[in-house]
Amino acid sequence: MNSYAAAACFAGIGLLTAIVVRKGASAYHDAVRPLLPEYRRGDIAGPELSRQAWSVSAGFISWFALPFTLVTGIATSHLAFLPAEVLGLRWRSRAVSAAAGAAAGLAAFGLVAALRAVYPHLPLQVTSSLPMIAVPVWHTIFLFPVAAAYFQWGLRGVAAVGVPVAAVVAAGGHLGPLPGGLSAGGLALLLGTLIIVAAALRRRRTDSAAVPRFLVDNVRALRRSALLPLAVIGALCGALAQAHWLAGEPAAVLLMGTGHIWDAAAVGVFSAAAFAPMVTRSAATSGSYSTQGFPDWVLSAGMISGTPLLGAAAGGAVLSAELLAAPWLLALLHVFPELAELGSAMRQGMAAVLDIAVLAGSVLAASHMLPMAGAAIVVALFVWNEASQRRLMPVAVGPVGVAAVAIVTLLTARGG
Amino acid sequence: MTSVVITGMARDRAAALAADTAAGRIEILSDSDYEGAIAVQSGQVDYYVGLCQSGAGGALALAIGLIGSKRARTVAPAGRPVAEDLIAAALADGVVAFGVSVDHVDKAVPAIIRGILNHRA
Repeated sequence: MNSYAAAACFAGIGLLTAIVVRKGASAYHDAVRPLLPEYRRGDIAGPELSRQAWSVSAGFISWFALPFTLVTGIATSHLAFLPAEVLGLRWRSRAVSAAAGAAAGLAAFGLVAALRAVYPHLPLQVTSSLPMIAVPVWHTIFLFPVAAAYFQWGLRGVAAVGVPVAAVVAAGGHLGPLPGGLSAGGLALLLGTLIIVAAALRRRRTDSAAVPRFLVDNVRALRRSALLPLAVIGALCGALAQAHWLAGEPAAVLLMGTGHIWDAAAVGVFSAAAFAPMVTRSAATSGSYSTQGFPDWVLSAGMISGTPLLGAAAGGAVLSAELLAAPWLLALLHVFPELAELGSAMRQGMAAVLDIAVLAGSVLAASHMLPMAGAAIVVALFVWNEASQRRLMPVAVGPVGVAAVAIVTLLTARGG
Repeated sequence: MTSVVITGMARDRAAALAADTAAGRIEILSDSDYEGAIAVQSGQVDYYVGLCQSGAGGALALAIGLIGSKRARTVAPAGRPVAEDLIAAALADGVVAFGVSVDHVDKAVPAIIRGILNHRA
């Protein structure tokens, strides 16, 4: 995919994101979606909702998405969606909203393109160190389902999931080449995900209560209001993910940045399973959907496709299938209540592993980039953040520290 | 007795912290976000505490949908330290569902329980 096509895809995502949120049909941010019914009724004006959307998005953009994009040159999906969502709600004119959304998408493209243009001119000391951030993440992704099992079922769950997961990781080299270069850790992550989801299906609801009718009607209505634009957004995301311009969660961004594409896709599948219960139920209560679907298996579908066109087809198909299946999934969550509880445990498990793995990788990278001082800068930033009641999201502390070390390295090199 | 349901990420840890602070003066429950929001909506439980990464998304997504946005508020978002006066103000405004970033669970959850105890005193 050339740069013009990538720019068009980013602009298209921004434009459609602005249109669907303005229509009240879907929102990317989980905190904006529940407010859309009041927006549709006119109880909250667009500019007011835009302000609220900005207040919950600014931190995510600055201290969650941006640091990972800076160290990889790959857009996190938050950068592609959140500014467009804020701007889409801002103006009264539909055309201005759509144009502002497209401009926000182009700005995300411009940032990534600029970073990619700058990287080749950076000292080898910097460029050879940045990929090290991803090393501990790549080596620990299979712990996501094990940590989730611990948070959901305690040590009993760890034993049930940890043994087969460890067996796959240990078998490693004996498994032969896996599809697309999937690592043993990635395979173990997928196996562990299947095991914990299956385990959550053991307990059925004992009472005969049905899903409230209005919730089912709400998700069915989304087929009319949201299916077409979201299918196109899914296609654009799939194409960009296939061309390695766009990824989702920090782990997937770091893995894509270091060439572990199928492992990044496996992370996206785990993340999607973790968010699916909350997205489906918040869609049912709000009558609006998630603009990128369950984050991030639409991107995963693109990543494992052979060409951008196939990636587009896969992304569009996955998001469409997800939306069409929403009433069925809503019923499934009702019959098997532990699925929703597991979703929270999976998000907690992934965050717990990533916080420490990204920090460890960042110390490693900073130490390699600027011996002695590099590691000290990252660790000092971590300690300051803890002492100041976490003004930065813990997972972002490492990459922010590495970016600071890179600047110091550049200044030192220039000064020398 | 006043009751509080804790939902979302790290809810077991949050429930333990809440129970320590409540010291038997508030009933602390732990459940999924959907069941917790339904319980508050139907009046079976008085307060809801939801936890997620940002404190504003998954933490309150279902509570806002089922209880209403005027009765739900993020009091400890990611990147902003907990302020007890904000919790007191929210309670005075009739807020019953509180959103908390999982980064702030150790300080925010006890602060909410203390706020509820003071509010009900």
